[in-house]
Amino acid sequence: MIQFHNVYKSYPSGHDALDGVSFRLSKGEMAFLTGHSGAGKSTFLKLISLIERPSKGQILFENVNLKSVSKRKIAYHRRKIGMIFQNNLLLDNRSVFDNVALPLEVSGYRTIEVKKRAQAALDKVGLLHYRRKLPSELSSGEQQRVGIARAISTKPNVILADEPTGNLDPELSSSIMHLFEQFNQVGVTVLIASHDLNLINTMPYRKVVLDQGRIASNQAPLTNE
Amino acid sequence: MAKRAWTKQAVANDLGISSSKANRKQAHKHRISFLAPLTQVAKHNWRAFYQTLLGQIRKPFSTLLISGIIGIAMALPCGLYLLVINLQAIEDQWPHEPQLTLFTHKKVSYFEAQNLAKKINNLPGVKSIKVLSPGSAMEEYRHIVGLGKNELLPEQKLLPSILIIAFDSQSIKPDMIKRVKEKIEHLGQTESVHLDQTAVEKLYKLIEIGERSILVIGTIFAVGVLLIVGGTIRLEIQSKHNEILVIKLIGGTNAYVRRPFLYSGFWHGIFGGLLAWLLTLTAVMFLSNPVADFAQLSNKIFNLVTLDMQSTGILIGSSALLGLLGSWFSVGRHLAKVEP
Ligand SMILES: Nc1ncnc2c1ncn2[C@@H]1O[C@H](COP(=O)(O)OP(=O)(O)O)[C@@H](O)[C@H]1O
Ligand SMILES: [Mg+2]
Repeated sequence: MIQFHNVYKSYPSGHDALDGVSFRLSKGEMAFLTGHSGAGKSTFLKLISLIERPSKGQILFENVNLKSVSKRKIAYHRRKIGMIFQNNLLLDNRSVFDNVALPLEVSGYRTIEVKKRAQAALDKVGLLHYRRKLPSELSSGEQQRVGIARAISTKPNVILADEPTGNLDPELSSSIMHLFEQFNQVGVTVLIASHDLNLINTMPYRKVVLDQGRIASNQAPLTNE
Repeated sequence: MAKRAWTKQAVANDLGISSSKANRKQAHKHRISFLAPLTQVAKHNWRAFYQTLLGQIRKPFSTLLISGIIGIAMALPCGLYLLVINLQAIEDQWPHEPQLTLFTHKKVSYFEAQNLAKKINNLPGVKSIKVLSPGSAMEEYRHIVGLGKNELLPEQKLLPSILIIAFDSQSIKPDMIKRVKEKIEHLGQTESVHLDQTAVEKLYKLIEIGERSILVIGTIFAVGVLLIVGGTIRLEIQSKHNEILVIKLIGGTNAYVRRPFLYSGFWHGIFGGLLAWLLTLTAVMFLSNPVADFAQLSNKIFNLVTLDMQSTGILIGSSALLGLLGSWFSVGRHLAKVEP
């Protein structure tokens, strides 16, 4: 599904955010990307969604070399990915429903389909009753769930989440992780960047640890279940 | 081995090459769905079209402000255009009788003068010529100078003939008269040729100045409208920075992001054009009474020419076009800077 072949990324400021990373995530797999702050987790995800381009190396996504995705095609590439952002990036001049419907509208779904899918996504995260509210009227945990609903509304095959539990308390965090597990159980490939080791260590998924732009360990899930 | 084949497939997919049957099938499917993006684009165009309109109606103050500026900028050249059109109408109504008065050499006989008249009559634009014999010219001269019947002129026997050359008022232009005048001077036998400058010709010059001013002022104000719309759209882009960012992140194409701003510029132009139209009509209404009085005083039937359907269409259309262009430039310059 996602392959990194010896990927380097240095920012114009001269900082090497990724330093020769090779990595492979299979279809239907769920994995965590972890490491201390500044290790390069966000950069890693940005390279997959083409927010950034690698300085060196190859990235394959669904067997397509991302190098071949031209600037004009980036939008279509992003439609294949459900992205969740740490600061959730909801638009506060639109209702919760309209936020969730936005990717569907951008992709040109029919109006009936937009309504159906946005409602289904909101229902999935348990916030259908808040659909008419503005994001600012919700708690930060609820906002994060609206962000998740927006990411899954188009039913993408891949979900990338950058610190989805960033500043949530442990209970909310684990409920959000549980949502991702549910998506993974229906076949969605999930990659979550998080530095919340306490939470991650309780979960039976692969952990890729980044340290100063290199993969320090790539631990397979425990198989003692 | 398997991995190699797999990458090959990836490359084939990238390049859109399809060799196997399955791939061809997929390509076929692609071709069918090729129309789907078109309907999507049409739908989003329509949505952007009315949503930007609604957006502007929802904030009437800023809409009125911007449309007001555009409207005034458009109304000025428009008003000038009407002024020129009306001057032309006045000019058309006025009896246009440009004429040349020719004095022959004193030694030219009346007979020779008549021959000269025949030659001149063949020149372009000349309608008729009246030849005054030295005798009748004498009477004319006496009348002009104010001599009494019995007073003798010095050298009375050596008097010139006078040719009064009338032009076809429908087709003649002042510069043509000038050319005819030069030709006559070349024919010889003439002492002097005078052009009778009438008020109409001065009006004609005025119209020419007006026509040029429309071009100059029109261009200046068109650039002004472009700048106004461009600046407005730049502010809109800045205020929607987050929205643009999010739309790009969730898979909105550049065209999708651009569309509402282009329509916004279009609506600014439309509203500006409508306002310019209203301003101009008001000005015409305001002026129509004094003009009617003036027409009556000068025994003319003269109706103030106002904006007809065609010029209204051109006014609003060009205003909309300027709005669209202004936003196009602005979007091109500023939207690319908003990258996730
Ligand atoms: N846009 C950028 N420009 C310059 N340096 C950046 C940029 N984004 C990230 N970096 C640097 O790259 C390194 C990795 O950052 P990031 O990928 O955000 O790490 P993480 O998400 O693991 O905290 C950091 O040192 C950061 O300062
Ligand atoms: Mg980060």
